[in-house]
Amino acid sequence: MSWAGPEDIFLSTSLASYLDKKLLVLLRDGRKLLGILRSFDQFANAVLEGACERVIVGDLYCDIPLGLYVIRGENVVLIGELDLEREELPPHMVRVSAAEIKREEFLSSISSMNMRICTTSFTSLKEEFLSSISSMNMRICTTSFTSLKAQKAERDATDLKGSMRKRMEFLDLD
Amino acid sequence: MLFFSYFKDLVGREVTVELKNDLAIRGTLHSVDQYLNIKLENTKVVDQDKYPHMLSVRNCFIRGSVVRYVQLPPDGVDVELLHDATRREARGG
Amino acid sequence: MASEEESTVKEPLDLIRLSLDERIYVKLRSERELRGKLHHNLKRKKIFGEPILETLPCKAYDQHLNMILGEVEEVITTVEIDDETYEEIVRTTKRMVPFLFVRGDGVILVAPPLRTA
Repeated sequence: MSWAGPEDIFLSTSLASYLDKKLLVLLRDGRKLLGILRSFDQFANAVLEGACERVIVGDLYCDIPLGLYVIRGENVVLIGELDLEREELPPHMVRVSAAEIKREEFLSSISSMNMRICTTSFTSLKEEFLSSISSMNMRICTTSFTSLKAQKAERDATDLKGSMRKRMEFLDLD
Repeated sequence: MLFFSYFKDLVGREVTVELKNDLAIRGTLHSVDQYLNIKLENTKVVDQDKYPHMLSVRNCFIRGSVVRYVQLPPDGVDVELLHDATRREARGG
Repeated sequence: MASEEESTVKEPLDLIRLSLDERIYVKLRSERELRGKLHHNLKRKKIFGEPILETLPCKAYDQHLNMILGEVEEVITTVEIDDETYEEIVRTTKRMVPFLFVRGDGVILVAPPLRTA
């Protein structure tokens, strides 16, 4: 990762050979960022220009634009060079709007929560549910004010949350 | 530095790097550095269906800290190689 | 383990040195266990073609507990929940790997083979 001399820069483990190329950056929390590498250092801190997050839910995906991003190195798992000759994703995958992918994400988080709710103990369950609801609130507040479609998805999500709350009434959340 | 030297001797060989997030990638070892960051070429994800976003990645840089295992070629643990590595280390290289 | 010097234990990792060339047990994070052989060789070698013979200890681990194991059996333990009965089902998956580099930061403990006397 150290700055190698110009002659062996392409044989070193430096990210220099990836500069100005379109890359996929996998993060430790599972997020997938795409963008052009403009700078890096020995910790794998990286600057991505034109960054976007690729959200994948099942066979649906969406690239959500983020802009210029500085990524802290310790959160980097892998930096991959995208082969421009090849398809970025398998042909059966369908691109959808940001609003739709957020809705799908929400639905799949609900269904995985349902799974867990059946299996965890009651007290921890209550806490988990409350905190996940509040983090959902957070996400709903911070995302998707950009388009009407997104606002619609937000309404859908709120409806869903309402129905979740109804279904969880037995938990006596208040 | 022992394993840094060791991996340097494996450059050009096929290895499978298994990460702490369970992603396993097979590829040719292109280079390694003192943090055991690894660069692979001609990579192929072992469970491709589970990681569709990796489809067009041919070359990659893996941060050393996220590695769980590296599966080595069966003849990769060459006594002579390890000896050479140990000797270099003894010389302070 | 020839000389007396070599078999003394002054610090924890010396125990691992004494386990070289033997099958050891390694417990790792995320419910993984390994059993494999820590490689070790002591060989007399010519250095730089000179007739000096030197003993080169060749260890396959370092201070971070990075290590190279041979003939490794990995056991992964997972707990699943039965969809119908909600009972916990403990599953173990086994696999064999001929040679494996293990990054030390995942190591919880290393157990040398059981010794008698």
